[in-house]
Amino acid sequence: MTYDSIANETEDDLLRTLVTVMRELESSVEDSRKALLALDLAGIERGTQDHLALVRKIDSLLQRRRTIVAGGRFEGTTSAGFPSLLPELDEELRQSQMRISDALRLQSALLVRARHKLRVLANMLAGPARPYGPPPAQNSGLTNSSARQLRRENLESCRA
Amino acid sequence: MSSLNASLATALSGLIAEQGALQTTTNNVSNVNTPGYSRQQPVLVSSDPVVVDPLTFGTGVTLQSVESIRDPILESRIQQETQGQGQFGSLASALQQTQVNFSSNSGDIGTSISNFFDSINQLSTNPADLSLRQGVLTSAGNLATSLNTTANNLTQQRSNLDLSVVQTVSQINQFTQQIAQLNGQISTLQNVGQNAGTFIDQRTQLIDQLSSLVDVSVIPSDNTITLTTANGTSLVTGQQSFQLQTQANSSGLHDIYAQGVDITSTIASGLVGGTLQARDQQIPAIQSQLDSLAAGLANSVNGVQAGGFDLNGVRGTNLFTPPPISGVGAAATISVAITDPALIAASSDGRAGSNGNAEAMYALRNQAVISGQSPTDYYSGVIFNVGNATANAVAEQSASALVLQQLNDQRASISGVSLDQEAANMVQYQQAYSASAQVISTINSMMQTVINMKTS
Repeated sequence: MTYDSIANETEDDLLRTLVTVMRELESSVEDSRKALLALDLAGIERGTQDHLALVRKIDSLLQRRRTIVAGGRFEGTTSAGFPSLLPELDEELRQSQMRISDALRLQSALLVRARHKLRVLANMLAGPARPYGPPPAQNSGLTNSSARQLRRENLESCRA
Repeated sequence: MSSLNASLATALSGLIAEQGALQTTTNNVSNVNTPGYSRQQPVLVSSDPVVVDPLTFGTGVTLQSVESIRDPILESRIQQETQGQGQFGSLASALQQTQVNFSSNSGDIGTSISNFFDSINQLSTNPADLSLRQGVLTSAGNLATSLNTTANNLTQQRSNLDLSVVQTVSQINQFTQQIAQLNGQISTLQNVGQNAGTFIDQRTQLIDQLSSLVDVSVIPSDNTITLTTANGTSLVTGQQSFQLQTQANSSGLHDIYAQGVDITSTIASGLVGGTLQARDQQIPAIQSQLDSLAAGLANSVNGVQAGGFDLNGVRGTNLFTPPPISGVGAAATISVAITDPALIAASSDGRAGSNGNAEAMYALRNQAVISGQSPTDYYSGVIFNVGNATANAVAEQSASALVLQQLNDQRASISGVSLDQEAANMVQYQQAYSASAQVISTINSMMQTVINMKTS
């Protein structure tokens, strides 16, 4: 969009763009859910990047909307001269927000379950063997006094 | 060297084993639509060989066992997720019913608060007008009624949920009893080396159903299982089941006891867990917020009333009945304390035309009189909390349903009957059976040759 077109942009035009971006976000959240259910890590990552980009876009659009409202550029018509559809667009935007909110709640609940599943898998893979590292060697040749000396040196190096 | 009779016995073992394998396939195909059925497969092993120096001869095949195909880890995850689905299903259902009390309509609390303050605003334009004064009393009555109705509905809902707890405990007891019986049958069969697959399937299905009601842990041991609640209280140990009991507490609601110990607070999931969460946590929290709203409104309005003068020039008295000091039950009991419209203290100086106190009363609309918020904002917060809790419960329920669907699909791919696979197995066993029969026919022919050789 050029500077001039931005300058002539009405709240109607902007809301239309906002609704379109919100739909993209809805679709992106849905894709992320599918990726999460399939444990498709690349898909989850891609979805997160998409969400971030779309949220930034929405932020910028909302900022512009504030500017337009402050500048009093709402005159009941679109930039192309059509009658304003503000109430309808606002309602569509509200519905879209609710759908996204519900989808994100679902995504959050699924993420909790996926994390639980991964934790169980990690525990299974780790197994019960040697969770605290190798046991100290028997007869390692370290006398009590030399062991104390070693510990003291370690402590001092940590303090340093 | 092996005799023809030995060869005949070997071929016969093949016939018997393939017949058994075919029987297993037939059973699988018959149960293709049986819920909870795990497909079975024959375990064929070669029979012990005989040594006839210097050679060793095989003695055929034995159908050692018929085993059911199951994944215990998957079963465990299904049971866990079933518990979650039961919990969030009942919680979402309860909260959706609660939410109905807060939906916007002409008699809801939010509208009643607005109408009440609007009527006071109108009164301030003409404080001596009796019809406007009556309007204030009517709107105050409507506000009190809407608070009473909502509070009573919530109390009624808690009673209904309590009834559901009692009924569900009875269902749990039936399931644990059946599981204990099945444990006995499985144990008996397995101790004599028989296949208990069908009973194990039935038990797994019952455990799934039990999991949807309460959080249970399954601990397998030799040929049997032990079921415990979340806090480790036994529900089933081998062939013995331990019944849960319900007992009414001081507030009239039922607590759940296992072997004399109150385990109500330890039940976190399953239908009972969700119902208890709604009954003992979510709804009481909403009731408490409504009580704060009712008490805050009544105290602040009564306070302003006491600072003004009525139409007769007398100090104002309470407009609403004073709420209990603790605030508990304020929403259920709030009512309008006066019936005479002249007793509304609209005047700030005792003159009939003064509207100073009416304006002060109207100003309460935007004053932080309830926990640092205005009445409207506080009520919006209550609605938000109810909506948020409902939406979260619904989302959790949907997530559980999605995950459970996935897990059930996985179970079906492992334990379910595939008709294609069974058809292939059937052809395989049929051909092996035919081949064994052909061998018997050949041996028969050879024997005939031997007999004829001796007679000729």
